[in-house]
Amino acid sequence: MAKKQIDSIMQLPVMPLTIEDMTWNKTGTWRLLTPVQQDKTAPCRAACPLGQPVPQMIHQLAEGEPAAGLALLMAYNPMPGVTGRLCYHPCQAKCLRKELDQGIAIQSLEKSASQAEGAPALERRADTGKLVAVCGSGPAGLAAAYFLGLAGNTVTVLEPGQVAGGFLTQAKAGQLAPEVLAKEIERLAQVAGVQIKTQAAPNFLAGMDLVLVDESACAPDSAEAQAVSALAKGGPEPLVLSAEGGFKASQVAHALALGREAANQAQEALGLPAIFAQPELGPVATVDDLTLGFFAPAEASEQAQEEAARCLSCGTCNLCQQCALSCPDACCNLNEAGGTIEIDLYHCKGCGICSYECPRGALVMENQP
Amino acid sequence: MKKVIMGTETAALAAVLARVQVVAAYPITPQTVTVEELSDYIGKGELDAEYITVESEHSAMAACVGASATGSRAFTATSSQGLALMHEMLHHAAGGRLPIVMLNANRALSPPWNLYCDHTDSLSQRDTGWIQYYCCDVQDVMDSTFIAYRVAEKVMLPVMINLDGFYLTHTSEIIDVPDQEEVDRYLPPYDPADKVDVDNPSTYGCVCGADLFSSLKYRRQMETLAVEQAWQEASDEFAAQFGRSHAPVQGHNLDDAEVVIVTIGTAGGAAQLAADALRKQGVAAGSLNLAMVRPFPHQSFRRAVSGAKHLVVLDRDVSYGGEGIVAQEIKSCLYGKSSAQVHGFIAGVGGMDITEELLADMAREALGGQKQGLELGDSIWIKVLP
Repeated sequence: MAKKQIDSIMQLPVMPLTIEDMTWNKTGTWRLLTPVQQDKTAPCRAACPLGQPVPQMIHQLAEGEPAAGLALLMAYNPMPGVTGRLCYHPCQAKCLRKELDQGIAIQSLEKSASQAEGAPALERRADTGKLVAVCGSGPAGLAAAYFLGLAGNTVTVLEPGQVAGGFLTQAKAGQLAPEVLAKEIERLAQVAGVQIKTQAAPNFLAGMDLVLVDESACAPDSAEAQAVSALAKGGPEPLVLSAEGGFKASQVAHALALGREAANQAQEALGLPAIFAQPELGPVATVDDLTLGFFAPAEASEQAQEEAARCLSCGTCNLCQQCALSCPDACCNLNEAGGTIEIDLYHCKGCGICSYECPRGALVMENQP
Repeated sequence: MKKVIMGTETAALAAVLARVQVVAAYPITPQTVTVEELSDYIGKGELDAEYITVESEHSAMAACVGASATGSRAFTATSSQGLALMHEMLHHAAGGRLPIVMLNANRALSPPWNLYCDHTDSLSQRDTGWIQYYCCDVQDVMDSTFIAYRVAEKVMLPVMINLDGFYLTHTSEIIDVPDQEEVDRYLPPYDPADKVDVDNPSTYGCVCGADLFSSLKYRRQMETLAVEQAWQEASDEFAAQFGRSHAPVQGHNLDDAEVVIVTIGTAGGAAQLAADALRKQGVAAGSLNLAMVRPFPHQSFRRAVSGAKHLVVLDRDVSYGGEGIVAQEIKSCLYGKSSAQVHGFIAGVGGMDITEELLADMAREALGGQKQGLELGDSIWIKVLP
């Protein structure tokens, strides 16, 4: 809006107040420092062997959107229902909420997100026409198959045994029920378009563009390991996934990470672009980045949404809008469409109150126009 | 309804009858009873208002500024040191054009400490832009509060109602307390054109550049000067409804007066008696109660003293390095417009009583009689050590 022209004394307001809209006054030209949203890495995420976006996932649970939380996890992890039960959860050890009262039950929340209804909306790349076989269906093999499937390849997992899952099938039923494992495998296969053949016979591999062998799926030199190796006979030289000493059930996240990395190697071997890239993450947030005074003590809860609401979202914007509340010039505003905070740089004077007020240290003042 | 009531109690009752909506005040002698009474009225539910407790007078006025800006009728009361502490916020209230009404119990400023009457506290705030009214008796306290809100809300300026410490704050008189209905008829609810409104945001007390600053000040001065007329009209309307007048300038036997005793505050009563006594001795004397000091009622004052040769001006204050403030104001008003001689007397501070005899003696001195005090600068000081 243009500045209102005042031509006579009596057109002035009696009270000294702004007339109509002041947007004509582009106070952004006064700015020296500029607020920039610069998420730090939450310590839980930094500790996760899969680098999962933990606070973002928890935020979705708090918002009552578990399916969105699941989609965030499955971009990193094909089996969140398994890690949500078996993983040794180093994330929880690093939770900064402990500085205030009790840490967040992150693993329970991961499990909760994994139980979201429906298939998560993950994009599968266009068909590459490449045929890939993965011999052995341990978590590493399944992860490789999953990401290669998402990359648009036609992937078949060959499992010589009766049931897919490799060493996961040996997990205690109290920790991971067989039907839960089956559902997790079914879902990852569906999402990535992967075919899983159990009781698979050798000599299937003629015409394959690439073969992976998951040697980490079972104990080395066991009958199962030999059966898996036998499957690879007759195909091209295989890419072997192995881990010294194998994995314990609690190390499933490391097995999944191995498979995910193997998928990238396979893509390279196929002359295709990488399928998974960990985004560039900021420095790990510490308790000094938080303003604990903003957070009310809250009892831990068995109920996922309540527990999720306790998350401090360390170093990570969760759209709490404290910046919007604090800005004296109404320059920080929630962009409903994008679900981000937008800063009106035409009017932001660079006072820095938003950055000071951000309870989680996600807004920094940068020396830039 | 007739009632025997003290000045401070009257101020509180007047605020109740004026249906004030926000009270933010800090107690100080000799105003304390007003604040106590108001908190009682509000606590008992007899006044539907918000009482904001504050840690200082500066905050009290700041709270009134905020309350008034939202369109509430705000009231506060203070005295002396408290008024001095408010100084910055007094500018804000007047500059913000907020019709707050405040009682000030005139009391000496320290040091040395003294709790008694002295007008230096309010007169040294005369450049803040507040309308200043000085009450001569308890009825005046009641009535001028209603007139004050009516004028304030019309011209959008705050009003300071001044009561002589102890002489008026702690004196009980029989007064007429009007019915609520009658007050409501005289004083409709406050409904300003502009008020803080989240649905229609504006910055109140915003920044203003050189392009408009002079014009805003000019307009404020224009509208402040017009207050003399606005108060006169409000007083006339009050007189029509209640039969009592509270004009900016209140004269007594001025028509043919050659000597006029000019006072502010409660000394007006003694001045009338002194003028009457002088009349009996053949002196053409009158008295003038200057009820309004800001804006200075130039027109009414010049008219009232147009026939006078001597103005005997009582100052219960001094502007150090200048003279009595009221005398100074009167000289400024009359300069080039009157040949009357202004005799400034400084007396009645710190608890010294102003009597009929004292005022009559001052008038005699002005007419060439016996010296009453010590001359210093342009003033004569009464009852000081030789």
